[in-house]
Amino acid sequence: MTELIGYVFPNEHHVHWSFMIVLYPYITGLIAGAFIMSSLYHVFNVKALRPVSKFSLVFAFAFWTCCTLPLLNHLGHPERALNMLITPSPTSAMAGFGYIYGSYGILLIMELLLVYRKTLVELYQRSSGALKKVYWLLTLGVPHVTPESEEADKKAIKFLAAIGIPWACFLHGYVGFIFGGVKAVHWWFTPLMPVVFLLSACVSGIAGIILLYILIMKYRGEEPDAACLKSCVKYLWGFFILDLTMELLDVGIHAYLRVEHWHIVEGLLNGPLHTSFWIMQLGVFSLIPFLLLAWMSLADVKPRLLQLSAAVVSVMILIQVILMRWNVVIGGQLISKSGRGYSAFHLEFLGKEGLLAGMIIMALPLVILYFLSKILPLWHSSSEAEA
Amino acid sequence: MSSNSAASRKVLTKDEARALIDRDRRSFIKKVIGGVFAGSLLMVLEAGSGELPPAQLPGVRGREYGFADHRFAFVVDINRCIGCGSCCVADKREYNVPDHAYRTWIERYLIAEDGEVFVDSPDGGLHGFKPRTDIDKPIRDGFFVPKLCNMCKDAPCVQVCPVGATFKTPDGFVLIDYERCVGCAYCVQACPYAVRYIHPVLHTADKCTWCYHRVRRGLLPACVNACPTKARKFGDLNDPDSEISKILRSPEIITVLKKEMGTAPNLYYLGARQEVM
Amino acid sequence: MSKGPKTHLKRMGLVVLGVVALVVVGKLLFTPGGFGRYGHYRPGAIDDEVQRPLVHETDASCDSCHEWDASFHKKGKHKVVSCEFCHGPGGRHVKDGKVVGHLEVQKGGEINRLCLRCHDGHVRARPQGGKVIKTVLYPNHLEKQAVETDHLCNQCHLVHAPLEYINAAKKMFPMVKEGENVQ
Repeated sequence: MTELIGYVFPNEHHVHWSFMIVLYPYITGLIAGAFIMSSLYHVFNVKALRPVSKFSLVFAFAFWTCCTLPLLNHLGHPERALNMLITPSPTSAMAGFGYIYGSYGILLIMELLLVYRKTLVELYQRSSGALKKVYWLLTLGVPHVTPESEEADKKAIKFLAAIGIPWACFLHGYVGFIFGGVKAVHWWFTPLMPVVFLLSACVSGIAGIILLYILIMKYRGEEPDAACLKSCVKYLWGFFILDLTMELLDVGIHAYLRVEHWHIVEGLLNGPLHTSFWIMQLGVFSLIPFLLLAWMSLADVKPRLLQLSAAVVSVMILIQVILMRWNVVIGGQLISKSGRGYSAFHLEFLGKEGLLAGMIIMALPLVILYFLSKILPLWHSSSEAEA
Repeated sequence: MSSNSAASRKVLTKDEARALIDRDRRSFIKKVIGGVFAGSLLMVLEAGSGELPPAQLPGVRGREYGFADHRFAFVVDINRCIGCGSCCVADKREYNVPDHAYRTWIERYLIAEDGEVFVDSPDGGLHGFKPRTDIDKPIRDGFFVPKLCNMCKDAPCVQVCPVGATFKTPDGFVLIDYERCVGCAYCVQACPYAVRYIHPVLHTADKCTWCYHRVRRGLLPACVNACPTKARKFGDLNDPDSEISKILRSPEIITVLKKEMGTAPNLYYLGARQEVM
Repeated sequence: MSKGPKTHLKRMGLVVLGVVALVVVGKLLFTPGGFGRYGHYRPGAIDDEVQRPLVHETDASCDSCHEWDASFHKKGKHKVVSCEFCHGPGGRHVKDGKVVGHLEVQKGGEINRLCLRCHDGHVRARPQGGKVIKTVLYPNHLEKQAVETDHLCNQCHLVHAPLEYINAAKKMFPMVKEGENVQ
């Protein structure tokens, strides 16, 4: 919430990329981060992460299905959205999104079908009528598993997860590039932007997984796997260190170089963004999680306390990342290209691109996740042999 | 066209004058029907467009339009702008530009003795400028800066448009395909000059086109036509006799806005002080 | 077809290929005709822009009917002020040689407002020295010319040729100096 300062060009009184465009990189970040979590198990064999490996995948998929909603809601002509696929401009950083997002979705679906193949076969056998046909399709017309086919699936999953990592990085790093490649907006114009976006994506994805893992387990009256949680926390800390380093490096290098445009960025950070950037993003919601994560990773914390603090840290980090998205997307647009002032942005509650619409869009993946969990078991059953 | 002499003019009554106008109008219409103006004017002319005023740009009418034959450029002479806002009025009418959106606008710069710069552009200068009463410092320099599309040779908006809805014509105009624009506003972000906006009715991007529809009819852009002091100049660089050609070949100091952006504008400024952004 | 351990994987591959083929076909099918002729865009968009109807004409269009007004306008200082700025665009007045609407004739206070858009000397930032524009301080100008301060500009200045009456009066009364009331 800011007020107009100084002189802004007449066309700059309206901030065109609103809350929806804050949510869009936030959601792609959650997808990319969650997928990388699942790949840590499938590709790099991080055994401790096995309990959340399936869940991460479904989590990524649930958010994938809703990723375009904020974009469609924002477009002036959503009915023309497919123009992005029909005539993508080879020179535009944005044009690739349709193809990258689409192909990533195909990859996700393929991996899901293979990871859940055994479940789908069981469901096929148990169901009847139209539903049976659906399951027949989902098992690709081969509704049975053999030890040999399972072996083949394992290899295929590993392969998909392996190409999925660079693809997830590409998906989200690319979203960072959409911003980093705008030379007219000095607060965006940095080659570090894709890196910052990618690392914060990992951070938000891991935090999202940790939080939901703890919450769902508690809801089911079970205990989250202590070793898994500890691993998650360590990964979160690691990625958060990298993320913060890059965020600080980005600001630091510009602050130190002090070229002409730094002065207008400085005015932004110390003016309209003072609270949301320094105090919230880098202060409260970075410093506290950072210290807590260090303590949780290094000290021998009791499981109960670990669960509590991990949940708190995850919430804080999820807020930190959305603050970062906000400060980048909205902040960049507050700088007037006149170099002489700052525009104003007011987040409305009920509007088309308002807070309520955003909350609905963010809640939708969780609803989808709930329904998916009714069909696909999110957790490995205790009887299941370790892979 | 008419035969009334200078001597007879002053004794005309209102009714006589009106009759005269009517007579002239009839003869005018007769000429149009007679085909004096018809046919030869434009390669593309919408049905029923009627007659056109005499050409203001040489070499456009009466032949097939060749994209390669012209190299149009725009010059704004800051030392001639009086901030009347005629250009803004003409522009708003020509395109029915919605309120709070600006294809072109005028900025007022006042520079104090101590170097402080005061810039404002109330309603983009659409209603002219009222005296500023909020500055109590001595002013050492003041001027108006009209702004419009820079028609960059390397346009960031064209580069970033994901669907090819913003494009550069072979004769160097950056235009918008209102049928394909998805309204993502990436071009709005990418334009270093903030000349783009999302049209609140069309829901597509929109911006100044240097009146491409007028230029292709051999007419000056509406703002140039309306400017009373010739602060806005438009012409063909391929025509060595055009004022534009003469200015850009003269030893005058000519600048473009935000050169460091690497956009290579076709909009040039005469007399732009270093404070102009 | 025998179902080996990899049959479903092969089918999966085929489905992916099918999706790719569908996208390629869709892309070819829906790309507008001529797309890419001049560049990455629909060439018809250029024609669309060319077809945009003309709203403003030029002074020549007005002069062709309004000869009487034009005769003053053309010879005075205000020949540089476009007719359509004060009266509105020609496209709203004449279309296809027919009068389709009447344009405004500015009256009363609106006259002063229009004049001061250009001539208000209180607005700094206008070019100085009188070469580009002659500005006046209003209402000081009226006091200086010894006329009532509620006078409208057009009571002395013919709007189409602002010095027409002034010069005529000067010719008639060569002894009267500036600031002295003719009456």
